[in-house]
Amino acid sequence: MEIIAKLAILADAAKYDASCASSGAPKRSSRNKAGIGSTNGAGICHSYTPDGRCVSLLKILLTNFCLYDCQYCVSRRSNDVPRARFTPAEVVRLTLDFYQRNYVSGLFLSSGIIRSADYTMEQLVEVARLLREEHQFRGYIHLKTIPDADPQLIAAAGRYADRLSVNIELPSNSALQRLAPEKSIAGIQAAMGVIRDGRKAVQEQPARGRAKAPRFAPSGQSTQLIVGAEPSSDKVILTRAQHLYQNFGLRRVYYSAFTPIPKSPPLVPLQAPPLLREHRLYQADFLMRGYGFQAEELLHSSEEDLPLDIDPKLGWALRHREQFPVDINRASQQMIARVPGIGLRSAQRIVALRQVRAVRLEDLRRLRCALEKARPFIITRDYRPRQDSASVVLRQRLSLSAQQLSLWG
Amino acid sequence: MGLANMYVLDCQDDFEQWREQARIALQRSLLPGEVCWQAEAAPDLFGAQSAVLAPLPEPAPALLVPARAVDMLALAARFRAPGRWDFLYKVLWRLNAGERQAIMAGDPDGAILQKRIKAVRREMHHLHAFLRFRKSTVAELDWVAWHEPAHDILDLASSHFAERLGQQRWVIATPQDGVFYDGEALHYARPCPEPWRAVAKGVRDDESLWATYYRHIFNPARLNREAMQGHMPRRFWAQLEEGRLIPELISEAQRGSRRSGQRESVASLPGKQIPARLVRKP
Repeated sequence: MEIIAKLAILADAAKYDASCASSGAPKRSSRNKAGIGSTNGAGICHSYTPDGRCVSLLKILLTNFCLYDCQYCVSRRSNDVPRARFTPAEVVRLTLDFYQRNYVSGLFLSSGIIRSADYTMEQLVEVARLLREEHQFRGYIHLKTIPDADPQLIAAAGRYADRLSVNIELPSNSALQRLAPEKSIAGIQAAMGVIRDGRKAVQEQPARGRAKAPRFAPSGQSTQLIVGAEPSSDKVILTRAQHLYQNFGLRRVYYSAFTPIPKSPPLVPLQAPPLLREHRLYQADFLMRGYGFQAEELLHSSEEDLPLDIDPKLGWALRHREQFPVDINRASQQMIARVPGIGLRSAQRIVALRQVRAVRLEDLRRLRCALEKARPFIITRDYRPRQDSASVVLRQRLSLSAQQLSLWG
Repeated sequence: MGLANMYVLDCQDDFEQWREQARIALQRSLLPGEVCWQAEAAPDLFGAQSAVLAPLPEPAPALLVPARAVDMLALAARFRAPGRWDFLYKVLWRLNAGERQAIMAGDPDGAILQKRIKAVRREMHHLHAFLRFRKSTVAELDWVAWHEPAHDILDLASSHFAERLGQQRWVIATPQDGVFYDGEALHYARPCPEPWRAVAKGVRDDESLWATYYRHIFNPARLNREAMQGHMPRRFWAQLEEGRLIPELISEAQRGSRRSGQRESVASLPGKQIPARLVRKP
């Protein structure tokens, strides 16, 4: 099979992985050196596909032959799909060519499970080794880690790759047992633990030796949770995500709305992907990572799912009216960032400005805060909310209309 | 105020020249309305010769502008807009008068300044993201690229590619300026030398692998053209191979005969199931 025909099949099978980040790598440069490639911590999106997704890396599978039968996966062994397999040299050639033309900033390589977890992991590591050692490639490499692979192989992957990821895909053991019988939370978390410990060992080196010490996945580890392939609620998903952040030091959890796949098995739905639900989960996730919210704060105790019509920060504020209105000229930066419609960056800029003079409503408009949303929750020098509107009324006024909701399909 | 009282200066759209002129204007206590800079594109707009401001004899009054603010002005100066130098002088004048907020996003002038800095940074990022190298047809070069930035960022942003491409030799040409890397050092020129422009614009290259990748990594079940256009402005599409593919991919997805993620050309190939007997439980 020609390389272009393989590329069609093995890119098509890789699109269900949401991650395409190339950020967070240490500074590397090829200036006046043999080889190519650089990283500087910032990611680059070299293109966007019409689904609005960033193309930052060459994201492909080494092969879509797979012994596993995960029901949500297009490459499951029982599915009647065209199959292909790249040689490591072919992946290297594509990566270097795409990189030099500035199509991508690196490689994200994953694979179906062939022969065994160890054999598959060896193949992935071999591609990374060829790139780093034979071609002195200093661009970004993200390797998928196969659960149940030998920790020695995961360690080797960590020395070559900027990022490693193990996809948990479903948030509970019962869901995995039903849809992905070859996988288990324990096996997945064991692999995450190997990566966590590998990173920790490097970080614990004394500062003097650290520069020379071998690096281990310096851009951290990530995972993906599929949303809507089975009935797990947002509460279960966010609780699992928080657990992963806390126990395995994950850099990112990606949420991927389940996309119907051809020849769909009866266990998974045929509906269009729940994109708005995915969006709300990303918002909630960002509130956990950036704003110090706990998963429990973001969901009302009686609710299983995040509301779709309002964002999770607004939902939290409506349930905690006793903490509002917040005086923008006196409150802590952290509390200002908890106001609906005011983000982290704006909170920081508000605090800088009020050291020079009192902040007025017009200033917030200039800082591009979402005033419509923020108004009921703030006091400025020249403004305080007129009357204490009931939360129900506020919610009605600030929620997405039925028409807006329908845009999300 | 009549034009007779206005000093019309010319800095050749160069920050260092502007900075020297602005420094003298400040020391002479000229108000923002008393001095302006003519645009490169429209010299002698007022029918006047550009003025030369003589520096004051030493010791000149000390200026009170922090270095960080000067860096911000230098960045905002790269934003192409009529009257950009006059605007910068206004900000500089206010800073020198002790108005620290003149560079803050909450201030009307500061908001414009910050917006320009953000646009300049974004345009540098656009160069790193959307520039495409094509195989050179001349022996002295490995790669060539044509790019059309909206602001004056090439000199500042192009060393990024020397870090990426190691010892390879390349040229980037734009309508305004150009840069050539000879494998060891960067050479910047404004205006862009004609030979650089010729090699950069004159290439056709085989990009079928990339086109295949782009078609297949797209998920038609998640079509969201607004998000795409917000991130990848249309003005870049003409230089991108995928720019040609976008309309076709959108209309295929909209026709919606297939409501799954898989691309039709893959679905139509013969499939292969893998027998369960090959599976060994770990």
